Amino acid sequence: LFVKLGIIGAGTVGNGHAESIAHLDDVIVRAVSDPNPNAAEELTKRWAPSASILSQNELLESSDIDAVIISNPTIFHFQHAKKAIECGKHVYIEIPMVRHLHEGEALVELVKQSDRIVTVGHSLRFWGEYQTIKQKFDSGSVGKPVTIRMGRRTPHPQRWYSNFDSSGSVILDAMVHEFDYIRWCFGPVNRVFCKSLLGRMNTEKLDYALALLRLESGAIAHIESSWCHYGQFCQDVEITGDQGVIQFDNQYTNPILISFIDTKSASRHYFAESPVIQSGHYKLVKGFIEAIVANAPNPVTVEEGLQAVRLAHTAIESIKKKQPVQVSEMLKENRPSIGGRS
Amino acid sequence: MTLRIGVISFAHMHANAFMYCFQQLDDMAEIVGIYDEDRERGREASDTYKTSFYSTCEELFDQHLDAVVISSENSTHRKYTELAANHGCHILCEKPISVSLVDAKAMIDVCQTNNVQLMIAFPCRYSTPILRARQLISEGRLGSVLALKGTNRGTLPGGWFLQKDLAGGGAIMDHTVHVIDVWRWLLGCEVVSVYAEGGCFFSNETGIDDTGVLMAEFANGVFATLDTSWSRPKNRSPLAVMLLWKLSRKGARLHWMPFDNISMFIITIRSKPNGCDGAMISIWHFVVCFSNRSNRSRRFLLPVMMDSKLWKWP
Repeated sequence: LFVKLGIIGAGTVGNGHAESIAHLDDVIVRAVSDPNPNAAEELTKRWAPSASILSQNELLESSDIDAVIISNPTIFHFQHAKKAIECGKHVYIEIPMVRHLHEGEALVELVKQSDRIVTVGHSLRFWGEYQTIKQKFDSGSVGKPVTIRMGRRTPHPQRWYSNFDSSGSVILDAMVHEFDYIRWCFGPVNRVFCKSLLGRMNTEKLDYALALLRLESGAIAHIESSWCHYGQFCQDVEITGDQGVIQFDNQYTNPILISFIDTKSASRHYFAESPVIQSGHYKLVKGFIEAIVANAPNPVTVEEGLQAVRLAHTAIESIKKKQPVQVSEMLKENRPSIGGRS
Repeated sequence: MTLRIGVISFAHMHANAFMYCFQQLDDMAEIVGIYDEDRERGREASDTYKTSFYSTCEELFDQHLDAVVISSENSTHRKYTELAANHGCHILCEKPISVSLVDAKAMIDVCQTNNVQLMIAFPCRYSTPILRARQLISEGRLGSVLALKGTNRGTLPGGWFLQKDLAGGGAIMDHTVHVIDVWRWLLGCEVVSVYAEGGCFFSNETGIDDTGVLMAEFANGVFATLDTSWSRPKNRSPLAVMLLWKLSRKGARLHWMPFDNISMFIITIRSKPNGCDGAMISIWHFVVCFSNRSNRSRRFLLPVMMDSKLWKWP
């Protein structure tokens, strides 16, 4: 079986996925779509010379495409994923899975009715350091979890990310990584108290959030998400158990440090710089392809994607209410219905 | 003039740090004697620091003291402060000031009534990195502060620290005050709301909070989180590290200025970094202020002190 793949969104993330695909057997990029034809052309030239450049609808409706990677702005994820599933494609959706909770719930229903593989791009779990941390923790090396501290700091990506309605701010776009990782490693979250610059100042060029989580296990988690950062991409994690501490901070462990002065190259500061042969992104895309061709388990399901989005929305709700919010309040049956929508 | 100092209790281990600092000041300060409810502990300390042990508080106060250091259990700060103030002694009291607002207010009142100074041991304010931060902020070099993220963590203590009636609380009581004090001072602004998640994970037999993460908001809209937990493994050094992250509007706007890397900076205070030991400087301040009964020197400029060669660096 050979997967014929289409990529929607030829930005930095789309290019990263195309690079991964170029290194994988059993899959080839057959088509690329991007509203900016130059971006689509550059991607194909670099990673998939035989791929054609199509419109989104052409790509989604093409009988020559088996699977789609959706790596365009968040606001389009739901409609494109929905159409792709309806057209019988397997789908890989970049994080955050969807912009709105109701979209996530609808997507989960759609996937239930379908036999297609739908994978969500929570790649943090697949980076070596983060996998090792989970293995160490699972083996009981630091005992029961007490506090979990995670952070992620980059410059503000601006463009559509500056618009809260499109991106959901640093919370939905960046903190969602940590929400997924914490939930994956340490189980369900009971409540979230989050404060950010939203509502305090214009967040088009600066955004910053701190969140405090209480887990069902009793552990306490703290997340820092910054789009106020200058310099190297920073991420860190520290697990304190009642028997010890596990720590990772890429500032001290990065085997390669690169600084750019010009703004174009400096976009690399938005991502982890890693010389490892199999990056987290690569391993996750590989898992997606293996789920299609070899019946391997889906590496990240839409249910999990929805739970991470739900935590982000709980955090945003907490900012609006200026108080802690129970995650259960964000479940469909407990949410006030929004006027005009059934 | 040599400041005549009495020390009340070695219950808090910081008493040893104070003694070390006084020793560096040569003839500026004299430890006249020690009183401790725990006689054995008091006698041991008096041997270590080559001073007298007094078995009652009254005997200690009979020695014509200028000032006392109170490093007893938190719950007894009020009792000893009242005694000292009524004897006309200036006071350096270990933090937190007390276990309740009522007690704290009473302590301030009794010192005002007796016209003596009450100083709380907040050495972080004297730490040179903190002073530098304050300078950068007050000069507007960083723009306005947007948010603060801090940790002040340590290892699980023992003894009275784990007894609520003596300590007044656990890790949150013990470790919040240093950082909040520095933040209030840096921002010139008060906290208007606080929320905390906390728990007992390491000291199960006592039930006291050994873990806490706070979410606070200041009157000027700055928000902050602070981890106060006694969660560091015993084999790790330093004992306690305080980190403050500051974000500034102006600095962070200069994304691509290659030499501007102060949009976010870290202040790390270790137990004895060369030349930025807040404890030493705070003790020096204490001695200088209270050696002069007219209190004339109380408001001297801290930056001047930085250049001073009056003490030997540890």
